Amino acid sequence: MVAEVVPTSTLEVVEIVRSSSRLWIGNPSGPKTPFRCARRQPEDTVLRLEGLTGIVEFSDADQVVVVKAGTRIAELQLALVERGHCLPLFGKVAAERDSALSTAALLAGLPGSVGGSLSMNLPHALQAQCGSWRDWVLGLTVVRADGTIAKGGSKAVKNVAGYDVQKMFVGARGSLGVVVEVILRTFPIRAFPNSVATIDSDDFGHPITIQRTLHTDFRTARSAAGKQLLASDAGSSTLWSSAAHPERFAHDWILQSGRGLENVELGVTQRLWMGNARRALDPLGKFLGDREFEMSPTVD
Amino acid sequence: MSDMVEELAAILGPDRVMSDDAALRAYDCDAYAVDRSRPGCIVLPESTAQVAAVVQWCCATGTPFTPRGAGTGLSGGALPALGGVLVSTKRMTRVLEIDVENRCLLAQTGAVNKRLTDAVADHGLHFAPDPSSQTVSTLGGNIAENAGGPHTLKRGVTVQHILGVTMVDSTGNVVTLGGRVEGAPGYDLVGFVVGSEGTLGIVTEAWIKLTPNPEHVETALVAFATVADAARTVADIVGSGTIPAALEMMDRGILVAVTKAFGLAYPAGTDALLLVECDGTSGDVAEEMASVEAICRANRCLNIEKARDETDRKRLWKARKQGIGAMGRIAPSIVTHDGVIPRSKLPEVLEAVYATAAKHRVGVANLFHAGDGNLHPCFYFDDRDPDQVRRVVEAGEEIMRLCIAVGGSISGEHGIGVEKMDLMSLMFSEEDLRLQRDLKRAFNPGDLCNPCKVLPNQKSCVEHQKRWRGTAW
Repeated sequence: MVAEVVPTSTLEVVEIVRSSSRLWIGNPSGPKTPFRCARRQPEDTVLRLEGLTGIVEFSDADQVVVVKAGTRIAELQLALVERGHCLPLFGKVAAERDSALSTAALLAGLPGSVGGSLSMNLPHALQAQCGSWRDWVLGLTVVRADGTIAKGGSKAVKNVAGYDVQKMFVGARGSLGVVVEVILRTFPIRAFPNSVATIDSDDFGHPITIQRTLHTDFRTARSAAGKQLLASDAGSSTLWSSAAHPERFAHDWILQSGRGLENVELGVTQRLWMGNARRALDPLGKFLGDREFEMSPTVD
Repeated sequence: MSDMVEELAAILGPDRVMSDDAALRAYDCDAYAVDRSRPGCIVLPESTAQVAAVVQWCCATGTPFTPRGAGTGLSGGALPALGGVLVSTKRMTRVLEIDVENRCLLAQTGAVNKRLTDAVADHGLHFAPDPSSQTVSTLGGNIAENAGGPHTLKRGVTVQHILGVTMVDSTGNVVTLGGRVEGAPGYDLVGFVVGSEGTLGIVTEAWIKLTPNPEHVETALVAFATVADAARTVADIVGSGTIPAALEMMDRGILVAVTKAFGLAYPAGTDALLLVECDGTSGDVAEEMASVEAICRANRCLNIEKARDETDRKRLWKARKQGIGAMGRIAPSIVTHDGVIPRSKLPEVLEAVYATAAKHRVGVANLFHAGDGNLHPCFYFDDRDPDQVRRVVEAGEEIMRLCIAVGGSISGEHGIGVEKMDLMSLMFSEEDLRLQRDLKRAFNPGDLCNPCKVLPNQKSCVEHQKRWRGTAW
């Protein structure tokens, strides 16, 4: 029987982490789940974060919001928009337009939670103009594998005190700890730029390939995708397509869905260093790094 | 010690190793001059392979090593371990590859920040991070400290402009992290290395992002009768949703200094100056400046002086760029702090800075990146008088505690180094520090790479202090 738990407080998260040996964090059938390499196994306890919602603090004067990790992006956006701010995700534009764009917004993680979105860190179509999670996350609170609670970063928009541990959790897909609270910088709507992204197809379904190339290869990559092209953003030289084996270009990277461990390509050094980080923070392999990034769970 | 010199000379060539008395003295501190520590020797490698060879030798012999760029760091990041190896990047200054169309450039980390911009200026591009030290500080130093500068308000800090690095890790392996195309999946290892203050290894090369020069720039120097008016103006500008390219503030202390040093003049009765710069398309700039000016007037500014051309613009920036240097005319010594606070708290914190200075009977001048809340209260005093020194230290700590209390940080751009190690526990709990320690150790398990910096109470430091430091703290 798969245990699925929905804690409503950080302390409950701590209890769950302490008492579990294998944790699958997030919604097992969420829209971004096919991008994850790991699949939930029967022995995993599923830890869902929908119970950790709410804005803790927002200062429009300082353009910083502190929000619980399980808060839906859409909910956060609505609250920020009321005060003239937002997270500059493509979805803000998409929400006002037609269904094709809404589907694209889906890919940008709009239906997801704040914690889930930063943990997956999928490309979005305003990246060139506004950066992404790595630039917006100023700090966060995590529950570590041993159940302790630690914070990284601060509410300051500019901060070089100590090591930037919060950077490590962006894109970590939950493999280093459970993010329970996030400090984000917000963006005044008044200054919201226009996206140069185009939607080329209505047919967004998994499997999806996201590819980013050098600017000089972008047009060629777009042509190469042909009828399989779903969307593209000239600003960041990113394409979304249904091509399982896209044409590759020098220095490019791809991110896929529906292919398990092959969803993500990692370099040798990258895998080594990620493995070191994972062993340091999760020595018993609770957070499934071996299934998400194929890093061995214990020292060989 | 002579073994060290002989052996390293055998590895690198004798003309790449210095150990004469004058050199050891020249390298015994960086711009954080209150703490000095003599290295055993200085090496001047010219390539990544040579750096790796040095680090491997250090690991084999258990010798600590410290990387150093230009030595302009203000927190002691390049302070050598006593008797250790100081690895200078002075001879690694080459721009290796320029890719204009893809707006990126590969350089050795000894290259001076300003030189990177010079290399691509003809293409209408520049390297965005612009710390005040940029005509001297190196790419490597900027990476180590995640350097800021006035234009980080709009453009971001150094980490936003580093695409990839080649580094020699703490065990002497050459590793490549990131690459020409940003945002690749996996952990943000580049993001963790940038700002790690040279304690995870020695970055030898980096791919940097190049930023197109703005189409249009407008700069204005705005005078105010009181600091409070200027501070409120900053809070209002940020709160209005305008993001200027730069928003800097200077108070009376700096004005007196620069007037003496550079003969620049301001309206009578000026107690604070704001330097505002907007860039972008001419339409956007006009709109932004109009909004900024309206806010300045609403906050009772005395005068708004707009730059007529590029020369004029440089003149207006002079006070800001050379203000700290000009402090030398007022007192023999200065200590500049680096706290960050939420911008809405600027008026009250500035008031507290003046009150604290008065309480401790020390002089203070303020020159800082008001737009992102990064304060640089600059205490001026005579360091020959130990009582003045004590009062300056106390005043500084009080201000740091206030920065943290209002939700800020103890360092916006200068780094922790040695200088602020003892303040880390004001900002971070034991658990927070343990997370930093654990991640640091994951990438640098040993204790030889720039030891005893950033994190307080490292167990190995006690040993290091006995064997390698021994200088007064």
